[in-house]
Amino acid sequence: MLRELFFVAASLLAILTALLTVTRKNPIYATFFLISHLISIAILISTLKLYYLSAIHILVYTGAIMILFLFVVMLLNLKEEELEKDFSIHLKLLYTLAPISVMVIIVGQLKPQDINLSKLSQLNVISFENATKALFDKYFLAFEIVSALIILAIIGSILIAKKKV
Amino acid sequence: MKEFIEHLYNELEFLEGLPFIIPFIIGSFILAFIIINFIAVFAGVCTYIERKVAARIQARVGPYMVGPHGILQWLADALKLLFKEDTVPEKADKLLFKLAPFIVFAGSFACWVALPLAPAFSPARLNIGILYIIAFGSSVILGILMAGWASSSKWALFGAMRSAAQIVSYEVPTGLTILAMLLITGTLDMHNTIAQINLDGTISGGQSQGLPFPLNYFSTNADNFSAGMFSWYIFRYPPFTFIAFIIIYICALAETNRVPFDIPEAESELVSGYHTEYSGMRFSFFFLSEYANMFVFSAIITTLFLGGWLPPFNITGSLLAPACGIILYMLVKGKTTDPANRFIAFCTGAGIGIFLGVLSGDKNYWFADYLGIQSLRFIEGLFWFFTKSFGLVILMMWLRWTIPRYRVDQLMELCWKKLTPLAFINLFCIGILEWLYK
Repeated sequence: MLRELFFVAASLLAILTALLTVTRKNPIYATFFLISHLISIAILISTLKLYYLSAIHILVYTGAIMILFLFVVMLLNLKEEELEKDFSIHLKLLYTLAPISVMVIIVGQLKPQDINLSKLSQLNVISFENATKALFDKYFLAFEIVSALIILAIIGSILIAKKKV
Repeated sequence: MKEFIEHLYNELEFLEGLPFIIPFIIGSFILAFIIINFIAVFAGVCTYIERKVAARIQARVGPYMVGPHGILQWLADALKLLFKEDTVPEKADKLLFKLAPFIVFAGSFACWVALPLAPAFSPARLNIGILYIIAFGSSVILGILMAGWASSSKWALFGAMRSAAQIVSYEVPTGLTILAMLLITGTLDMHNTIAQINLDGTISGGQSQGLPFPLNYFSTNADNFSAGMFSWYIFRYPPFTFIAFIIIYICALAETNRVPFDIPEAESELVSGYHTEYSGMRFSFFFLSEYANMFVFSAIITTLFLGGWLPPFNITGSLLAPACGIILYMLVKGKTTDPANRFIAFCTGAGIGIFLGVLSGDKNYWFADYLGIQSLRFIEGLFWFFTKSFGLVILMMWLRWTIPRYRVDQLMELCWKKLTPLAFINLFCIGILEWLYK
């Protein structure tokens, strides 16, 4: 009961903060709403009893990535004029219609019996032990390849940035 | 905590008809209320002790007027902060400015929930305890950045920037060191970390025993109380675990913005960093969170290295009481000739010995039977956990008045060029030792 309540509240909060993120003009506010969006996603994950994933989510996103975002945005310190650059009415229309149409398509796929919140309480806990076993046993190769890929991406982005300087 | 409320719910008859959620929510609120007040009092007492430590080091007296030996000074300070005018700078971003202290405080308050305060007791027993604390501990930076930016003052902004850079950097060696210790403990659950230490110093899974109602809540692997300090994780693989302890202690100083790493609040450069523009109650929230954070880090170190709630020695009170009595008698002997005074000194020493004996887990005292061994363990555990953690906090205060401040570049160099490689080597060595000896 409580779990379902938190699930619905967290999902509504996630949608609301995501909307607020893309509609803010001030980038600092947008970043803060993005952070609250990520936190509400973490709450959503923890209502599914995936506590390990939820803690990792907060640790990685709000603890590291978003702090760097905030850092950069604050260092850039955008001027008021730059913030008030406005979009044309066509672009505004496009930006509103596109996500709405995507949402309609996704929601249209759902059947009424899919929305069954009581399934939430029947979920099994994915523990830290099981997650690590999956990562370092069954999917070990994939895991290592992904980490190598990320390092390559970092090196690549540094290279691209250096050419411009 | 949930288990405790469940016990109460099952045992108390007048709760029969209610759904479990209601007593659960009420119990959680009561506990949160207790903890939040405890943190406030704890931080207050810490400020008093810090001032006294500073005074001692600088050969002064320190606060002396309010109460005996100035012991109520912190209450007077809190009252002053409460009645101070609450100012908000005109150019500040009002919403974020007002929100920031609460986020900082909530970040450090959330960490307290997972601390293993006593055997089988913490406000919420989490399977992912240490991970949870690291995750929520890092949300303090969010509030600091918010405060720094919203103040629209260059001092505050620079302070916040430095603080964020410092905390994010120092999380790397902290994480690596915690990882090295997790190789040894093999669990993220902070209770199991301690409960799995056996009587002979080996490690296994903890268990609980069947006991009558309120006592069974405190049941744990009670016998490991006489395991002694050499069963602690700091003595597991001697040189490497010591190095790990020193690395994580330095990182704790940096992450709580304490001297010698108090660059974000350097008075001589930045007025007082990210909380320059704050006054009154809002300022005191930053203050509270700093002391709460110091305790949380000390508690993590205590759990991972210093055996958490386990007592450090295994000497029976029967030996300890006369030993303490004789020591005190010898100390007093040269200073007084009055035999009555000497006798009082001996009795006091013996009393201290008995007290220490009880705390070290001697089952032979009469009140051990009266209280039940499990609740005795609970009190002991609480005492030793707080003593160890508080000892580390006092060491932080001592360092503050001993060591000069680092420069920003020196700070970053220490983190990335010295501590991080050292932590990596340490992790490697502990991994190999664990592989060889497990």
